[in-house]
Amino acid sequence: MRPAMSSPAAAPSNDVPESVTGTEFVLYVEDNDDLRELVVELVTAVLKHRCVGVGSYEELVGLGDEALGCSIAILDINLGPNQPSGIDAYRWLRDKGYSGRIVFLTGHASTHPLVIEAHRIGDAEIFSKPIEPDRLRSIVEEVRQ
Amino acid sequence: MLSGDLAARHAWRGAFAAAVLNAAGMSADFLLARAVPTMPIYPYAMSVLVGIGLIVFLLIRRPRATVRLGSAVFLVNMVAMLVALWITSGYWATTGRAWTPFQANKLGALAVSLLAPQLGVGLASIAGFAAMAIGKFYFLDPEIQRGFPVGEPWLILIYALFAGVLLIYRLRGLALEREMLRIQAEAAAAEQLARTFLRVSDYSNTPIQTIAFTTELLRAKTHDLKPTLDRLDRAVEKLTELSHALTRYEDAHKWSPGDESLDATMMDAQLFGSEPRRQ
Repeated sequence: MRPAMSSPAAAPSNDVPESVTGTEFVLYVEDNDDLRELVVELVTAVLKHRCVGVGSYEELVGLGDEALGCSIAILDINLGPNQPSGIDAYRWLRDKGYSGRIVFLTGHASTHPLVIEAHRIGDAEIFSKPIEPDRLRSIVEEVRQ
Repeated sequence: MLSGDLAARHAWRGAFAAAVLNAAGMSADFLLARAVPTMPIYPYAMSVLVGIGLIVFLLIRRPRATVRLGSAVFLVNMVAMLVALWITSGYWATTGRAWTPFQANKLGALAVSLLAPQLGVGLASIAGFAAMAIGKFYFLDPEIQRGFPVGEPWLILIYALFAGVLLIYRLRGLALEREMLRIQAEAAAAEQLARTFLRVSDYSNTPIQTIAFTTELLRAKTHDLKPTLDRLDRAVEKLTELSHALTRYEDAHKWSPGDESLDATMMDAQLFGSEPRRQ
């Protein structure tokens, strides 16, 4: 898997307006490279919000405390076979003291064991793929407000 | 299909066991009949040879066994035994010694209840044993008839009644067992289908999401492609509906330990028969 991670500390590209280079950002954890890169681009270019995409639990942990500065964390539940899941990512964030909003995104049915486990977590919302772009917009915009 | 195979196997085994009992039972009866000076060999030889021939025939046809084949062999075996018993029982009756009449018929009727492949074949065979005994009785000299134990030859009817009830009981049990197996097989197939549907849905959701967001990104970047992107949006809607439809039977799928770790790369091999690809 490609690292495909844009660090919050990285310099913004020329396409990204100054308005989206604030300290707060959207954290997106997704193992599918295409979707992750796309969401980062969509949130940055269209929703005008800073977005950091990481492809695995290990990459998230690699961000360290920097990850805790996100305004919202969007976590894919299944991060690959025999890999730590989005639920592990959720626990890591909460254990590190992150108190912001966390949203799970999943392509699995509601009976999938990981989805059931995610439902047991009271303070996280769960959205099923595919979500409409407007839904993503509202998730990000709510945090802005 | 499964219950049909099982019925054919039951029929084959029943016919095979009946042929073995014929060959072995008639051989034993012949050894005992040596004490009867006038007893002919040919009825025993005929019945035993028929039994052995049917055993060989069944072994050859085993891979292509059917219920009809089992029933046909069973009936041929019965006819051979009845013919042999008709002849030999007459000699047994005229020995002048103490003789328990029609023991082979009584034993045969009970054996039929345990081995007959089908109800009709079984009832006909039981009726054959009973009718042969009663018929033979009336063909015997009245003097010999008077020497028969009290109740004979009608005791065979009690055996036939018991055999008939046992036969029905056994065949109903087998039918129930086959029905249970059929239902279990159907449930397993439905569960497998639900599992496949779920995986197809899981597999497709991320690509659909990618198309939906790509469309949105292109829409924001250029206004020239609006009609094209609208079509893409509609296609995404259809694909989303399909994905939701595939999860309709998700309750039919019971997740097993380890299932949740299967991802799209593994599903490639399962769904498309190809080597796993990278996402």
